[in-house]
Amino acid sequence: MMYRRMMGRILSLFLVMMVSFACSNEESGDSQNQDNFDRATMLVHWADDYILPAYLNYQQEVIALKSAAAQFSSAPSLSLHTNLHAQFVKAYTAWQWVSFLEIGPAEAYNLRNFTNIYPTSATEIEEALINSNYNLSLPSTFNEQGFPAIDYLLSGFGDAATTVNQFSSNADYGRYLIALTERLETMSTQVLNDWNTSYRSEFISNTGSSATASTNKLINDFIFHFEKELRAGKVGIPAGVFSGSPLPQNVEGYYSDSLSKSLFRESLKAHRAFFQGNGFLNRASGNSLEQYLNYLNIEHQNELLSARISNQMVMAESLAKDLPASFSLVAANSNQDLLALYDELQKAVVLLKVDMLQALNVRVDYIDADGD
Amino acid sequence: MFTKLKYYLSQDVEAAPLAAFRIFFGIMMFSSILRFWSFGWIEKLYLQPKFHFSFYGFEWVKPLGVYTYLIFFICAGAALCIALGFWYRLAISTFWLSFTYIELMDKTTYLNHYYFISVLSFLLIFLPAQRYFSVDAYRRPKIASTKIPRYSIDAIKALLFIVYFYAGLAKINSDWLLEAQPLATWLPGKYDLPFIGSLLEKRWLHYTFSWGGMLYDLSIPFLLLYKPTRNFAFVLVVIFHVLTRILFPIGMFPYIMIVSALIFFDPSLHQRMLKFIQNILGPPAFPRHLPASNKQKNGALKKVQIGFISLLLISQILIPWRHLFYPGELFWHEQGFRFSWRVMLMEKAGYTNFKIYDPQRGESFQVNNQQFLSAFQEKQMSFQPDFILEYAHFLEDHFRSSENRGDLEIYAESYVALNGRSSQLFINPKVDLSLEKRGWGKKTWILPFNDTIYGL
Repeated sequence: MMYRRMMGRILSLFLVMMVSFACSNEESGDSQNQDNFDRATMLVHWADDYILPAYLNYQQEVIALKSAAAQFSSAPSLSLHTNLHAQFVKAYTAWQWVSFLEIGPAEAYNLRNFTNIYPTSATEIEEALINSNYNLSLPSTFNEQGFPAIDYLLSGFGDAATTVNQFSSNADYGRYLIALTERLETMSTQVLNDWNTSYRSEFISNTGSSATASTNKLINDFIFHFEKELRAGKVGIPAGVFSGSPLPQNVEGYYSDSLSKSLFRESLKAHRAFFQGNGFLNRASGNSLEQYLNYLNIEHQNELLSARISNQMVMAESLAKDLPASFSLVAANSNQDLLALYDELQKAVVLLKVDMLQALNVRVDYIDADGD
Repeated sequence: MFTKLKYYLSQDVEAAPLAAFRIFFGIMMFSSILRFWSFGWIEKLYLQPKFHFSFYGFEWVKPLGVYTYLIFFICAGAALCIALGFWYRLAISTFWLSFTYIELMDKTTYLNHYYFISVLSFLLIFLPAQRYFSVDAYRRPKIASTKIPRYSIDAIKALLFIVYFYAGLAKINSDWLLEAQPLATWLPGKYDLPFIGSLLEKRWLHYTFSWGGMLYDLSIPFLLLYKPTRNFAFVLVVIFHVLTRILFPIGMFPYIMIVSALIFFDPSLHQRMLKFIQNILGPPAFPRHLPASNKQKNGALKKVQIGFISLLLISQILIPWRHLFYPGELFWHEQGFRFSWRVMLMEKAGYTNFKIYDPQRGESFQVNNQQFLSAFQEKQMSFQPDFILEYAHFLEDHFRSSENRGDLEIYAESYVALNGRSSQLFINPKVDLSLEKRGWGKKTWILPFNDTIYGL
């Protein structure tokens, strides 16, 4: 009898262990949390007040870009070129608001890599457009498409008159331009549709705290983008931070020349709006990272961490405001200004990546190993 | 004194607890390795990274490409042989070697519980765990016996005692007890757990868990040793480790500790467990009539064994104190932090970038860490000084050979945050790390910690 009872106890013990094993492994996604800071409303705010309107806006601008490109290609003229370039700037600007949302459909379609890899390759574009059938869905064509490639086609040959001549004398350019804008339109429509039909509900219901939960993933995407795209891509790389000497030709929107600063500023503005929960353009504000940090009452050196982060972003904004419109010229002529901007962005990255991630206890992406 | 010791060393006890321990240990290790492999971690942690962080003095231990799988295979096979008690000494020695080799390949993956496995398996090499309920005992009745020297079971208890007690001592510090850190940072992040999720944000719960954890670690070895409290202690062990399993990404460790704690129980329990196993396996798998005792013929061998066991336990008592040789805050500089059962004490994160100055070409540039390190490696490197130095040296070698450069100067720009404090500069940015030596010397290039943590 004793033996039976003992074995029973041991078996139930193992049962407890197994249950705990199962529990801790499952993504407890649908559990309710009753605390005052409702993370679920943060996800809803992000989806409805930022992500969906920003994607919609982007898609509308890209559709307009496509028709402007078609008009120009069918009858190249100076006025249509002006028209097209203006729409190009609008679409590129709208892109800055969705660039960091590399989650769900955008992640699945590899949206950012197909949309904005720069510097683009003029040689590869010239080779590609001779062929009548281009496969733009190959990863090897990242640097032959998207905004940087359109930028090259619109401004890479010289002034507007030269471009008009180029398009008039060789129809390949027009065809390729239309293909590029169509691709942007297809991808943006796909992403927007996915969000509207299914991904929104998946996104807002994935409220857990695991590495694959929406909050964790999007925060990681946000910080990754701030560090690699905003700090490094738009400023650090052209300033030569990683190469020893400045690389003026590596700025974003290089061929349009006076675009790089405004694209940078737009992107920084988008990051700040997302962080502060301001919503997209005139949308409602709501729970976001700033409110989350304040709720946890994270204060360093008698100052709220959220305020330190916002202030640091504002600092970088005001520094950028006074720079010439072309970062390419800044890199070539007064690179120390670009380096100074880089330093301010770097401070923001430290606050986001070290202080904020620790405070929110967000695990860094794609690390799944045991701790002890 | 000497006669007492001699008497103690000559005492025999039932062999069942050690045999049961051997079986559980083998099964646990086998499943741990299976789990590790099934998660794709061999590929991810040992094959994909271009660079591996080595323990000082063990730079020669590196992953072996696809043959790394072979090491894991050998290790898993050895674990099975341990459970079966098949060629036990060879199996446990092979296990210890292969497991330790795996742990030495890259210190990015260092965990106290891996270290525990290494130490425990080393200890097991010198214990007669194959004498009872094993294939060895069945095949070679000469070595079979129902009794084993008492010290062989006590040695395992002593090791567990050290692990728990030192883990408890390390928790006696102001961050843990007065700020409830790092639990106050970690627990709210688990808000989505069913039932207890909403409680995990409560301040009082952080304190309860902190103080409870400290008291648990300090008292559990005594409660397990003392017979009247043993059952109660075991219930605590189960609750504690199951809780840590639910709250933290802690892998197999809780189960290993729960099963290990069974060694404290009376042999009758282990007898029943073995009988249970035997009932499953079928009719007697080993001779029924065993000699009560099977005194080792070779007295010299026994002395060597006792020597190794004593040496191991003494070193385990001393090694955790080596941090006393280094001035400054241990949590900050981490010199002497590893191998001392300092478990779950810190939430530490960093952001470290390297600037390389080439004096011959008069240019400087920064490094994109992701070019060389996995996300996991970069994370670990960013707040641990010995990682930072080793990586700085790697960068110098890399850029000298791949870009044909001369002597380089390597500077770190490093920010680290500890236990919810604001991030601060970590490494002296003016020190050329390419000139600093690796080793046990004091790392003077770590900047002092801005705050004070009181305690052990």
